[in-house]
Order: sequence, then C-alpha cells, then structure tokens
Amino acid sequence: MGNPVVQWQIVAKDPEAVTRFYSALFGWKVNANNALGYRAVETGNGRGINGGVWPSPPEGHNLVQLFVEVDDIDAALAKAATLGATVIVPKSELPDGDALAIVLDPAGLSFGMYRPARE
Amino acid sequence: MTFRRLLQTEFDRRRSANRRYSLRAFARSLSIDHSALSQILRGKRRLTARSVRALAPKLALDAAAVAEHCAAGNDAAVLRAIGRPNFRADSRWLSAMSGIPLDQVNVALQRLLRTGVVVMQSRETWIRTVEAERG
Repeated sequence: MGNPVVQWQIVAKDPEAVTRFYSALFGWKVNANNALGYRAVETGNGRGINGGVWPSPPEGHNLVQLFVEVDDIDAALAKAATLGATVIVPKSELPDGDALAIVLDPAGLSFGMYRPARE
Repeated sequence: MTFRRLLQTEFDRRRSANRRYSLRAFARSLSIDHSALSQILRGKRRLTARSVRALAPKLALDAAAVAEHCAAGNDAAVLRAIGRPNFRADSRWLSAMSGIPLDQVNVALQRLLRTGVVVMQSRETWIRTVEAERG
C-alpha cells in the first residue's frame, strides 16, 4: 500500500479566520461535527487530498503539516527516531478511531504519522 | 504555576513583609471583592482568562507571563474535566465542563499530549499521568 500523503493540516493562531478565508476563496466545505471539533476540510474534487485546520497556541506559528499514512505508527516512529527525527506528540488514539503522532524531521519540519480508523 | 498559586504566593510575600496585611487589603489592591478572592485562593472559583488579564497589571505581569498563566489555567481545567467520572472523550464536552472555548481546549489538549501529561490510550480512554492542580 505504500505510505501516501493522505491529508494536509493548517495549524493557525486564528483557525476560524483561516477557515473562512479558504472557504470563501475556493468554496471548500468545512465540517467540524466530530469528537474533537476538528475543522475537516473537503476540497470538493476526487483529485488531490483533503485537509483540516487545527488551532495553534498563542506563542506558536502558523504552519502547514502533511499527514503520511502508515500501518503501524509505533514502528514508523521507531524508524523515524533512528533516522534523526524527534517525536513532538506521541501516538494518540483519537476519539473517532483514527490515530496520529506528530514528528519533527531532521530539518525541523513537523509532519503527522497517521493511521485511519479501522472499521 | 497556575495564576491561583501566583496570587497565593504574592499574598504570602506581602504578609511576610507585614503580618497585619489582610486578605481584604490584598483584594483592595487588586480591585476585586475579598470574598471572590477568598474563593479563588481556595480553588472554589475559577479564574477566567479575562480576569487573569484584568489582574495582571496590578501584579506587574507582562503579556508573556499572562499568556503562560492563562495556558496553565486552561491545562489544569481540561485536566480536571478529564478526571471527572462522567468523562467523555469529546472536546465539546470538555469545553462545556471546563468553561473554556473549544479551540483553547484543543490547544490545551495538544500541550498535555505533547508533555505526556495526558495519553490517549484508546478512543475512549485518556490517561492522566499527573493529578490536576486546582485552577
């Protein structure tokens, strides 16, 4: 199955304003009706990938992260560590059944290791 | 340190300098009601981010210190909510229980996950690795 990039995430100090901007610009649909109140964004086309918007702490920066799908987050984190990555947020089993960890690559870019909900 | 503890520390400092310094005097210096201050110090009343910002200049706190105390207060409130017997793994529920806006709940949640204070073990089970401090 490989390890596809399955989602982008904007981390924003003002997530509501960012969401409004992209919705107005591209007509993207936002649905926050989930356990975390996560602003899931649908870009409205089968091509490309969908994304989401998450709040940043006041001292943080606005940034974009990519989520890479993996079968086994623990194994992927262990491998990433041997390659010089740092775990920022450990593997978390999210309330809607998917799981996520946030990692800093050796260049200092953060990205997500993502496992979708298992039916 | 939560803002409540900071207030207690400041009150203790003033009392050690002047043994007759009272809670009423401290409340007057902060321009708040002394019974409200008493409740805050006993952890019976929650300090909102707004009240922290209002009190900050009277305690000579800068913007960074205010942000830090607001964050600590939010973290403690979310942590207390996670420890409730009727806990639900749901940010909206945490928001309703803690009285903190949804985005701030999620910022606190991310901070608690990042520092290992909370672990999302399964979709319904979140573990607190430390006890919640009173806000």
